[in-house]
Amino acid sequence: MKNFATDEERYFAACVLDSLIYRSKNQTLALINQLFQRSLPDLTRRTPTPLGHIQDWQTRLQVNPSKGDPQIRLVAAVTANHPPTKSAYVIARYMMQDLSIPAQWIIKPWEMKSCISQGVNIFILVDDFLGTGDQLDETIVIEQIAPLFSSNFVVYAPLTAHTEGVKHLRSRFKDLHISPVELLDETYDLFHPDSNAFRDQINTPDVAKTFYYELLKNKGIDLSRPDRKGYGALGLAYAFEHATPDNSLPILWWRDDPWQPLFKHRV
Amino acid sequence: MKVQMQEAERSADLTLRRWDLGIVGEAIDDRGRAAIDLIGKVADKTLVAAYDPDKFSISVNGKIVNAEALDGELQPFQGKSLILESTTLGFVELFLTCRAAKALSFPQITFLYVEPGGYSKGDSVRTSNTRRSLILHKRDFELSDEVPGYRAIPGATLMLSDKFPQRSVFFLGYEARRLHRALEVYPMLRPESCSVVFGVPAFRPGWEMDAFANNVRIMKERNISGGVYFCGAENPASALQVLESIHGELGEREKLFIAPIGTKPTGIGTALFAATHSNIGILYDHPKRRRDRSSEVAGWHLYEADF
Amino acid sequence: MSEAVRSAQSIFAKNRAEELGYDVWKHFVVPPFYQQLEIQEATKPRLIIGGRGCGKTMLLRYWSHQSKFSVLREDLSQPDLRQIGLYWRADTQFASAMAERDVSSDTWEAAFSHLAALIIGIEVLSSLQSISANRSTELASIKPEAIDLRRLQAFDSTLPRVVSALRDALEERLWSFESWVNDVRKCAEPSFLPGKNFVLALVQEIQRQLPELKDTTFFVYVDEYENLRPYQQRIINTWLKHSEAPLIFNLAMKRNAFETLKTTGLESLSDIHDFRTHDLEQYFLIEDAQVFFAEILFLKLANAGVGTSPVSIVDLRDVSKLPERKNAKYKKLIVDAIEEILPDVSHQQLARNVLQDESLVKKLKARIQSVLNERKSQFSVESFLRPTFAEASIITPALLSRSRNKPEEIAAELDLLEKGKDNHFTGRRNWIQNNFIGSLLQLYEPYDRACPFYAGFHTFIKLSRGNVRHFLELCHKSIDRAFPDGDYQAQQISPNEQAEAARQASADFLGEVRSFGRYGNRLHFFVLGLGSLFALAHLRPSLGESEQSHFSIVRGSEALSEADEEFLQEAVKWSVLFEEEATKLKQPYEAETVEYVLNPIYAPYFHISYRKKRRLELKSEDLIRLMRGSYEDVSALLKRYSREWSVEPSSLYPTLFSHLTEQAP
Repeated sequence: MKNFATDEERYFAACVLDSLIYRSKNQTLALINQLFQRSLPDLTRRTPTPLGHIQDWQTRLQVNPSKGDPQIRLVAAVTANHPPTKSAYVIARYMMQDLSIPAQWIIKPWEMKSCISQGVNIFILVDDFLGTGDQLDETIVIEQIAPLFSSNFVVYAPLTAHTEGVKHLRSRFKDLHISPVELLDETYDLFHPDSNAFRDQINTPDVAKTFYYELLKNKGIDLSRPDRKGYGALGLAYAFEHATPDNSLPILWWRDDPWQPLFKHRV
Repeated sequence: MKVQMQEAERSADLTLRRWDLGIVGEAIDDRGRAAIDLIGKVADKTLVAAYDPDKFSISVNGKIVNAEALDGELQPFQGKSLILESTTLGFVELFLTCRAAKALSFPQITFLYVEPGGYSKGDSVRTSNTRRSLILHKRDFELSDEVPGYRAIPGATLMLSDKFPQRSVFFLGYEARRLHRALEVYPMLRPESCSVVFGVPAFRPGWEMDAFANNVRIMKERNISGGVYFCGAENPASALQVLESIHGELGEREKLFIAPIGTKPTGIGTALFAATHSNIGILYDHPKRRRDRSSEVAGWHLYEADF
Repeated sequence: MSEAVRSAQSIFAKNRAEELGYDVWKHFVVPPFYQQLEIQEATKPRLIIGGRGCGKTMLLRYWSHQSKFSVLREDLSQPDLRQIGLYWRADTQFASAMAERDVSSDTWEAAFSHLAALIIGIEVLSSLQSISANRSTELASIKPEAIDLRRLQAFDSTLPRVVSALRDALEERLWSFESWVNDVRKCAEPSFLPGKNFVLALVQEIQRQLPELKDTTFFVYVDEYENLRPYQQRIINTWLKHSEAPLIFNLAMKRNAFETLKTTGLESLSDIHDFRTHDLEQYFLIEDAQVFFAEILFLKLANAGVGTSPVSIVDLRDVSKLPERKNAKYKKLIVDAIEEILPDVSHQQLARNVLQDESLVKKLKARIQSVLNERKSQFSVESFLRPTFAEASIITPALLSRSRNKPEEIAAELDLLEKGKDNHFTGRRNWIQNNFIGSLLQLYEPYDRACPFYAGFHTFIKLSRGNVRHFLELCHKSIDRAFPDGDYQAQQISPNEQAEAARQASADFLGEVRSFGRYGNRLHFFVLGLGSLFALAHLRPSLGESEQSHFSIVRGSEALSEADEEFLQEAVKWSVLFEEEATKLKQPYEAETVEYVLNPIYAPYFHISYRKKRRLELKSEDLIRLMRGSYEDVSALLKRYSREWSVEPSSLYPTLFSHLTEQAP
């Protein structure tokens, strides 16, 4: 809060914090639980996998490599160039450590082909956040895995997704199943006309937006116009303990001096 | 215990079969009526049940029975398939039925739950410490329901005393007053062994933040420090998981008290847990179901529990 | 974090008696009315009445053996053994399960009696263990483990003979009993012990074998008696009726419960003629509570190692020192000390603060100007803003709003005031006295900062109105605000911080109303509406009726139903409203009437006065709207009053009245 000097700035910050959705590690684990207990079972009920309707994902994935093969692989949604701090890796690590899923069942995209040759057809791309879909699109293209979608059961399962990203990916990759645990839409944009973030009888979302752009300028947060409300102009106030998506307002994650970031930026 | 779960936007998209017996509660709005209609279509016989917290009795199709003698009413259906309509049934009816079913060795119980919809993001109520806490939200005024209060439930009544080891678990919703009232009514609850469970993910992203904000003040004031847990708001299996893990940590002679004052699905998880474990105390305030302003449907859920 | 962070949290970590455990000796301050409780000569059953936050539980725990024979007390002597307290707060939820369920009422009665025997029996044996654990030399000769209680085997041949084993055995029986109550159909019915007779036999056997206890009387305190089932109350009543040494039963309950039981029950207390009633709340009103509250705060600070107490903490716990604590010199010492920490702000200073604050002066000038414009007066603002007469200047907008006052008259009175001559401001007409606070509150009204009118020790006493918990919470929040990073060393807390703390505490307590019993939500709604109405009244430009924070009911077009009366009583029961006899009748022919005062703890939230000044005469139909109307009904009512009182919506605190502007008129 030291970033905000005047009363008005502090009030603005307070409104943003009031609308913030924050996921601690334990909550992130709860989302992962939900993925395996509800999202994936329901997806495969409606659209059966090669193994049919799968209900007990966790038990299957926990099987020891010496005892068997679940015939499913979890795939961290990364490219070879991404560092280990990439948040998809973080999610994969949580699955390994906290859900006791053997590391052998967690692979990278470039390992998918060899798994297919071993008879595995079900792949769950794990990730924490889907914003505009640009990043995943790029990943899919770079790692050349799009051709695998039509003959295999591939699911992209970000814990949280924005409808923008879902739309984007659906139009780009028709055979890719998309199964987020939580879904955000345009009303989660703090400056959306229907947003309640600044609804206090005095201000309006538009007034707040103007104030916000001024604030960015004054604090030396230098961004191109479309990115001022976060990448993709999604205007979100969403953060995980391990990282903040750049689709969230930059004031939450901007790192350059003298601005002190509230949260860690998502890689 | 294995719990299979399904969700669909329309009832037609659920994978249904037929059940021998369906038990429903009283329908007070369209959502309830739609749910009861569905039961009527899939169950060969339907019974209506309602619990009386003052008399410890339950009425089954109008016949008033001692709540602890419910297994007598279910006896004719022993070994058959059973579906409970949990939107219209209250927590106690669910618990008593689960207990009776377990005693009669029913292999499985199915629950139908219709999630309420029609809320926009603006309807969430958060009484946090910013200036906006002074705003009187319209929704505040609409919560004028009467809550008889915490009453013992036969079969889940243990002596609560701060002289003996205890562990309590509260499933919380967005209103802080139910927790607050429990702490007033049960001053023997020890805050250091009191845990809370929040619904994450919530019915809508962001609602859990309201629940946190509303409850955190009372938690801080009362030094509730037994830990914060999370389970899906509409996920009874994860509620069961939380209870199992806490139960596993109980010391000798330590009694477990559960307060299912959050969402109905977490209540289902609690009912299943309490029906299959002995020596569990339940703290419940028997709220009168009010006519929901929103009787719209956000989703249909089916939960199948194997005993 | 440094080792000794004296944050507000650690000082006030445990505000409730329950959180302190059963040995509360270290935390107990002997209250000024203690002697009236007649502990020493008690031979009759006692009835202790007290509501929330008045210290009833604290008192009962203090009398219990765990506190009486606290290991922290090393100077006890034989006379201390004469009274041994046994505190029983029934788990009334569990007790309520002991009814119906296809079990005969005879069985339930025997069962409840058995429960009492077990619990009180365990307490008797524990008291011996407390005495044994105490290190006072005079008590060292008492050796409970040497007793042989085999005579009790007449009740149940399997009962052990040694104290600790017997206690364990009674506990085991308690768990079996619990299992049986939980599942009467499956579990075997235990063999029941005969309630009081068993306990009496136990006590008498102990006295026979421990000569040090031959003059001892055991006092059982049954707390929350009102939450037991009627048949359970009847059983306890019979024990009460025939209570005599060495086993005397006493009851504790809330005030409203006592009122209810007096009137409704045939099987209730009216049967018992022989008990002494002690109404703690009444005692608080009679005795000056403020010194006591200050002492409690000093004790808490001392226990947390904060600052140096102005008085001996040891004396606070010593009954024999009570007379000293009542003398004028001591009281002045305490009050001076706490005024150092929580200074009040005099009206003169409040007025000066306004004139020293740029934005408040601006507001005052704007108001004066606006009224002058309305009255088409040629006078300048400066005629009414006299810098050295702050209080007078501040009330001028209100005076000018009254049509019967002419601007030139007011200006003339100001001149007289300046010259030191007799005038209406300070003279018989009491303009300042009647209007200052009202005007001050109006000036601060839409202001972001809380008004220092809500600050000060004496103010906190008024806001808490005899409720220790409220008072301590106000102090807690004040310290927390002023020293958020900890390391509080009993320094002074500025009035501004105090006022902010009061506002926050007020909001929190208001939120708690939702949990007040079965009508909690409706009560909350009611307070919001009533408080908003008072807030509106405070905004009337002319301040014709100033500082309205209480009301009386005027018979209107709709009469209050029985349910309405019940709801009103519910509000009184939970201390949301206080019922008082009317202080001043408006018309000489009016019958005596009841006034309802909104609990002053909510005053800071609504930005209204906590003093009892002018009364709002509320028509019955309006009260009914507030109590059970819909959201729309209350909105309409508030809008109507704001029109009637000429309160402009734009001058309303926007967030509080957002619901008024949300809908189209």
